[in-house]
Amino acid sequence: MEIKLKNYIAPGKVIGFVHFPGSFAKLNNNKKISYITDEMFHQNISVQKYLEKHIPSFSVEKFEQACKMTLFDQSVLSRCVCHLSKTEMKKLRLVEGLLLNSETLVLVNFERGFYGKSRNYFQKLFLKLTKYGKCIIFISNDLEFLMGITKTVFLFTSEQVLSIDNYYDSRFHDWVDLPDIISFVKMLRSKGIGMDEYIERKEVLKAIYRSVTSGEKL
Amino acid sequence: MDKKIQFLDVGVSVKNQLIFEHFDFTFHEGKSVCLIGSEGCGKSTLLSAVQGICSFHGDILKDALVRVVLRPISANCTISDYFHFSTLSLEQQMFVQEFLHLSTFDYPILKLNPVFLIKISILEAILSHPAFLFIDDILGDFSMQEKKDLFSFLHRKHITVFYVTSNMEDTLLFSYLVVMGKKGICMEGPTLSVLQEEKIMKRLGFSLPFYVDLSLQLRSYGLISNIYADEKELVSHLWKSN
Repeated sequence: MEIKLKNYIAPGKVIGFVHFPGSFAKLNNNKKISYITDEMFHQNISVQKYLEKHIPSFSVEKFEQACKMTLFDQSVLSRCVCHLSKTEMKKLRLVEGLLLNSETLVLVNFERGFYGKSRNYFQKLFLKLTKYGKCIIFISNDLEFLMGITKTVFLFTSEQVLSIDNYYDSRFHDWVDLPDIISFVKMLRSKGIGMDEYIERKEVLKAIYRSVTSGEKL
Repeated sequence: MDKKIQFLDVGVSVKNQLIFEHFDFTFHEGKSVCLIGSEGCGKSTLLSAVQGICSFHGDILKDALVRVVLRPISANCTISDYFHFSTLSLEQQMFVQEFLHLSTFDYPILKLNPVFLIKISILEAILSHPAFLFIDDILGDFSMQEKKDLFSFLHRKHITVFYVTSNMEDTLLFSYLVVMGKKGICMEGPTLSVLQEEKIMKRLGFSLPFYVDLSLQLRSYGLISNIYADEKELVSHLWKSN
């Protein structure tokens, strides 16, 4: 785990455990870990050949289910893996992880390249997968994406690893960009506007409405 | 004379599978552009076509020097060796120094953090002073301030940028936005005007940048009359009467 991830874990990176597996020892001994990284494929083989090569008991039925779950377009089966788009490559790696029935999925910058609708879909998917007992680990610097999935994150600074369970924690400040919603609420609170530490846009909207219509002053 | 790059009905197919088609656009010098598009619609492939590493149909007419940055650099040597630093002119050496802000160039490239790997890729592309620079969606490790600094630097050097992104907040760094689909351009125009097409944007699967989304909602409640992409402006207009 340490060796595989050394290129990804650097200051400013955040690890979000969606379902903490109990201990790092268990994680290290876990043989069934799939790494869904954002590295490009360079092999000159088709998607189908790639899956047949990497999935010992490849079944079309399970493949179709995994495709549906990951929004992976089955029509690209004959396409060379190196010709897939960046997001298709990630989906393929996720399909592979699901078909291998890996207990732990380590996702590195998975959210990059996806837009709002897909990001929301995958947030829900990963939460659903944890209900089936999977451990999902995100390595990312996108707090906004993590906010929708997990409360507790581990922040890698240059000196230590911090466990943080509040996205308004000031220790994030020097290491990662805060989502605009957090910066905005923090700024309003500092100006005396009554507002809780919201992480959802509609809550902020309601709070602004209440503040402005009640004549609250800055 | 206005230098430009013209995309004339450009399309790419791989093994009889369509990636995208009917991309028509004229990219003018001095007018940087941000491109977004749904996943797999061919944004990176378009840049590969510009770079000439993927075959396409239609025409891409260039009347100025163009460079494309598709991925971070990977080289097993120092920065100094990579750029043959001693052979660079004094002007080029100063350019490198100004861009990288490093005290020494003897760092092994493999030990640099992702931001520097990408900055070196960009540096390699701009050392030849291209008029146009295409950058793929590779700035995910950059902070917003680092992105602002990068685009400001390129602007100062009169390099017109065509930037592909999946981060909707990045769109606000550009005044012109192009939305690409598999069948060509879905929408284009001044960034805030395009983003205000809330229904179309959501139907295409995009979320809106936080301040734009908030402004649109607040406008629908009658609390403000304009769309603000800046927090200070938004706050001053919201609580102005108080």
